[in-house]
Amino acid sequence: MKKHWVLLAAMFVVLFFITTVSSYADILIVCNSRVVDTTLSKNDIKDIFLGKKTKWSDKTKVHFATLNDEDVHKLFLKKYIKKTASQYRNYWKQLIFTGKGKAPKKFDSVEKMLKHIAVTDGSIGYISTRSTAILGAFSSSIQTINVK
Amino acid sequence: MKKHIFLTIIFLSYLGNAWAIEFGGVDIHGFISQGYLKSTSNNYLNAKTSEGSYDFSERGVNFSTELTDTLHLGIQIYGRDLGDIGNDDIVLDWAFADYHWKDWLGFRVGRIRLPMGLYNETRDMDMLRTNILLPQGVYQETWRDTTSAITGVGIYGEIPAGFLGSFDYSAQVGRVSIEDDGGIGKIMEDTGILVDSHFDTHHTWNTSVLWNTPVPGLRIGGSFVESGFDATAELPFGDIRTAMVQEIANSFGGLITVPDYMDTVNELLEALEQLAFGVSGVPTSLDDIDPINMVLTSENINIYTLSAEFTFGNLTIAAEYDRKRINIQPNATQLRSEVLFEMDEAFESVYPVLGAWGLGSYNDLKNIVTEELLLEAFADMGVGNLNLDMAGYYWSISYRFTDWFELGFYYTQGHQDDGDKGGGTFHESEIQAWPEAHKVAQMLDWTDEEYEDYHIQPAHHAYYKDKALSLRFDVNEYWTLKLEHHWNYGLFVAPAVKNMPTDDNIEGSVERWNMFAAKATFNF
Repeated sequence: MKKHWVLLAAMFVVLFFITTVSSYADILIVCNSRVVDTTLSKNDIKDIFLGKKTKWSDKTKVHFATLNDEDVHKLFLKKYIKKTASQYRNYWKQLIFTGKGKAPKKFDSVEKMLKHIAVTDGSIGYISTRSTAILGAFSSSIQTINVK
Repeated sequence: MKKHIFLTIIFLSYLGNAWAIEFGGVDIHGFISQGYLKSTSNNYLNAKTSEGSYDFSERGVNFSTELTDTLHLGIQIYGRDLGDIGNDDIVLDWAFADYHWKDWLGFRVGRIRLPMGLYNETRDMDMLRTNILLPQGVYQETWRDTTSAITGVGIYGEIPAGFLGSFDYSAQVGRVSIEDDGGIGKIMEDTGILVDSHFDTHHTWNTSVLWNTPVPGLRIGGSFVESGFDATAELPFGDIRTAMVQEIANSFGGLITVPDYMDTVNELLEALEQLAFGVSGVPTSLDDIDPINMVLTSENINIYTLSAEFTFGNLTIAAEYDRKRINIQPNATQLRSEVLFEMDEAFESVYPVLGAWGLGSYNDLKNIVTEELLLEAFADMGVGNLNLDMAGYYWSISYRFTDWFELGFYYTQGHQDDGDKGGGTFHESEIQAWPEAHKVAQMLDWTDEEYEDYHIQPAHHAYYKDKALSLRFDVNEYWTLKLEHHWNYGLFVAPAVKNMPTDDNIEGSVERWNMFAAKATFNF
């Protein structure tokens, strides 16, 4: 009898794991292949997308790009920036309307964002892990960032 | 005018989905707001809010470009209408060059928005906050012109502090502007003593530090501004001349009688003429004597603000405390110079006649008018040394329920004098000043009752308390609609002097009043 309970519990764990993994999309940070900093902290990523970190370690300018995909954008903001979409939008509007910042580049699709990153030195963006297949087409010009 | 505003809004709404217009490497952004205010009684900032007022709008457009990776240029022009302030005049809001040398050190040169508290830099952009009116205990609209921007140079940056988080800082030095027809100028005019004010501000410096604490979402900050100004204004009613004439009359040992608060030098001349038995050569009038110009100097305007904001998901809680200390005093040296000039005009040709009567030399006469005499005369008129110690605070809470709906509430209060929160001392001083002011009232043929009713300010003019409930609807990324209700108690920020009884409003101000506000904003 005890064996059955252990087996049942194990099945639940496995099922939970499978369903979680299958439904859970994570965020992948990607950048131009010429970017020298391939490992960043979460705080670095936050500072980049808030316009507070503007240069890579080799002094090239950081160009960051955001995605118009609501779900992916919200997931990215929640995981790295700790802001909601409206808070993030207002943050940038505050900078724009006081002359302290330039609006982030925004792309309607992953393909467009990746094309931009591929040809722009110092650029960085994010995609869903579900979109990694598209990333293959840019393997020579885009690299992924290790987040420590 | 309103037609143009709405046509502009409609035009802008057709610009499409772009959250900016980019033209030749220049980013263009803009916003336009139109609001409506309706109060149950009292008038907010002289807008006829008791009848409902549309004199509540803002608009701005900015252009910016990056010349290099580190050099950024930008400019924003702006106009607003709030009661009789602004009147849609287009002004330079900010315009500066920004050299971002390092993330921890950058330089700005030009006209820069003044960091003061959490929201001063963005106070004109309705779409960036939940509520329509910022808490007036801290962000008084009458101070907007003075505290919005500084023209000069500044440094800024973010300093990482390891496990302590990081510190955003900025420091500026330069000059702020006080518009002649801005909020402070209007308040000075509305005292009824000074007209056509003109302001020259002294050097101003400002610093602001915001600590991004290790607690996620918690920011704590402080800011400080020090400034000063010279205000040049005209004195109507010839009040200072009256004081001078009175003193001169006293010097004649009662040979002539000058009525209390005689309002022009001409009247003294008439008296002198009578004394001189119509000796030929004495002028009979000085029609073109200019009003006395006076300079009020404020060596120290100190403003400091303490701030805290906590954001947790869709919840934002904020609180701020603000203190404004101002010392204003008449410039007696300048004033004496003006008065002596007027004396030359008025008496130089008359005095030889009087000198024959053995009344002393002309210089003796001029020496009567000392700086001390003038300062005393000013104090009697209610424009002596003025020390203001204003304080205010607020706390606010807001929650975004959906992508399109946010609810907010704040409580704020402000005091004209931090040591007199209930306004009792203020009201008492009004009563004590009554005998002097009453003499002026007599000149105007007012009865005692009329004067007391119309000009002694009640205690509730010295404070302001406000509970505000705000509903914000984000139609899309570009359009925002807001509705707001205020439960007000007191009138300090209205401002009070604009709510004294008039023939059209015999009741004058009331202590408890409500106000409804609505606003629509488009931005791109």
